[in-house]
Amino acid sequence: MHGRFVLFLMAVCLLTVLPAARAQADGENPIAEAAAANRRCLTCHPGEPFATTYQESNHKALACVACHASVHGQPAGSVRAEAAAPTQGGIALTREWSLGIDRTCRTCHEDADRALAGSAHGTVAAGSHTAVQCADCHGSHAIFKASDPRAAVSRRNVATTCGRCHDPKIAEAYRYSFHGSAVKLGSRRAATCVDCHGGHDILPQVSPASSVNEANLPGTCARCHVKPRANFARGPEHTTIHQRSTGFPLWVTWKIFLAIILLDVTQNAVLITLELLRQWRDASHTAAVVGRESHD
Amino acid sequence: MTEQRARDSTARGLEQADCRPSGHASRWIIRFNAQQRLQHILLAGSIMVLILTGFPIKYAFEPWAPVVTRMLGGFDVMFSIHLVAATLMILSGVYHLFWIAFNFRRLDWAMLPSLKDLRDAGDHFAYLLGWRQAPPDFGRYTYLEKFEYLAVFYGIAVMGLSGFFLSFPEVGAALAPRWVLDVLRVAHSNEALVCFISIAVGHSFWVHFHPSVFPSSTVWYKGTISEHHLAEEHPAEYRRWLQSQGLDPSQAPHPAHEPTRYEHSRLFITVELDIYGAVAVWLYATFVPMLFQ
Repeated sequence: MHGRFVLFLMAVCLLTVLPAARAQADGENPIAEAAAANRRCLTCHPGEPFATTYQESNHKALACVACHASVHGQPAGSVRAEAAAPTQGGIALTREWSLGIDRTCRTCHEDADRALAGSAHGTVAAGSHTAVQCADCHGSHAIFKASDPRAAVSRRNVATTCGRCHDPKIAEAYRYSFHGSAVKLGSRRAATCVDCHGGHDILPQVSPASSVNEANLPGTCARCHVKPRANFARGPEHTTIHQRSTGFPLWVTWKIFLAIILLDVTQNAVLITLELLRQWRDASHTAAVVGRESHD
Repeated sequence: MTEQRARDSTARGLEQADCRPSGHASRWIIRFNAQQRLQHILLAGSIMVLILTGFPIKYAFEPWAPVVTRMLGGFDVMFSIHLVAATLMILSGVYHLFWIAFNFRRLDWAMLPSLKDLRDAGDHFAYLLGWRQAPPDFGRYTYLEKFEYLAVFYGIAVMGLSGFFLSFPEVGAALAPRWVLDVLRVAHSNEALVCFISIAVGHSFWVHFHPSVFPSSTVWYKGTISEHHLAEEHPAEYRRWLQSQGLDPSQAPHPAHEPTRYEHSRLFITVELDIYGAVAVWLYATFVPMLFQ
């Protein structure tokens, strides 16, 4: 009888305490809270790619309305329709609309906003649809910390992200460089775009304060390469062996080595083929002699 | 033995052209001493490691490169191995130079090129093309071996110096503008490829895949070459050796030869011709279009 009573008490406890504990956890879990708040949004936007990526992103604890404060202020037609038919006017309209969201990013990320203010990206027609927006580099729903390999600004992805606006030849040259190759293979030390050019505080090369200004370049290289040699600034950067005009010394070195490679291949191909043919003639000769002798 | 074959045999400078044994059994003659073998093993081992840990960086954009890098413990580990192997390679070169210096008077200097090498090269091609019956009268080292030896000097210098300045760009930049370092990187990357082709296609044929030595010549670890091989491939050196033994080269009987398993296998030779042909076509298809890019 006694044992049964204990069991009964335990059952009562479980049935009453567990739901209460769950409710308590819900209240303290901002992710679950955001998910609950977003449930209404997702009744009309179910299964959208952004809905899933957002739930994994660094902003997963935020409600949709944290960024999309004015859900009624969308431009005529949906953003998606504009993106599907990206006429010049459509893009302008879409970007004009997302400027509002961009301002929202900066209310939380004040430090980034301050750094950006005087930067090359911050001064590109600020406030207009051509201005660089946070989402251009960081993505909109799939935002991750830079240390997360999924982030658009992670070490491995940042060159591609910059290359979306900047000359793709620069990103290509970077990929072939030692820095780019090392980063691709997982080096945690080799430089990415932002290590030399800066992040939010990026400045154009002509600016005297720019980390890649000719006067500052030796010091920038010396952050990793020990000594600020003036020679670090001498020579074209971001050029490949294929760009004869910008990187002639590289181009001509590559062509010389290409000639050596082809001579090397030819020398070996000719000698090995002739030697094997000679060996074959020898073997045939031996076979013929052995055959003849076996008849003798 | 037919008259024709007897003539052939005499013309090839051999008492016995074929596999029938005659004369005494083939002796083993020292070709490389322990120090030379040690230098070679040090060089070969370090170069193999350097290629393994360097090519993923050269070809970082290829899908296999990150796989190899992961297998080698990640980029930082792989790159450290590369630098250790580079140090060993340079040490093998330094060891060789010291060895030369300490043996300066004892060396026969047979590895130095001479005018005879030009004649040997001409004779060799005539022989390979079947225009000439007698094999070229090669000495201790053939003109190809001498060329390879000098190419290793050039290769270690180019790879060692460019690699050093690329590893320590702050030292390189003390001497030259950055674009010179960029040129050194192109040189480092492509000289590595020249080295790889020379070894993986050229050198490995003569010492591993040649039907008479497959799967491997024994010289690199035993240090000895069979009397038969020496007589056939280095006849002038063989005569010199006979003389050193107090024998008269014109009277000495030719050593017997037991052919290796693959030496006279036309199947083996045909398969090799196909493989080397395919490799050559692939290399040309890869690099010739780059001339025009």
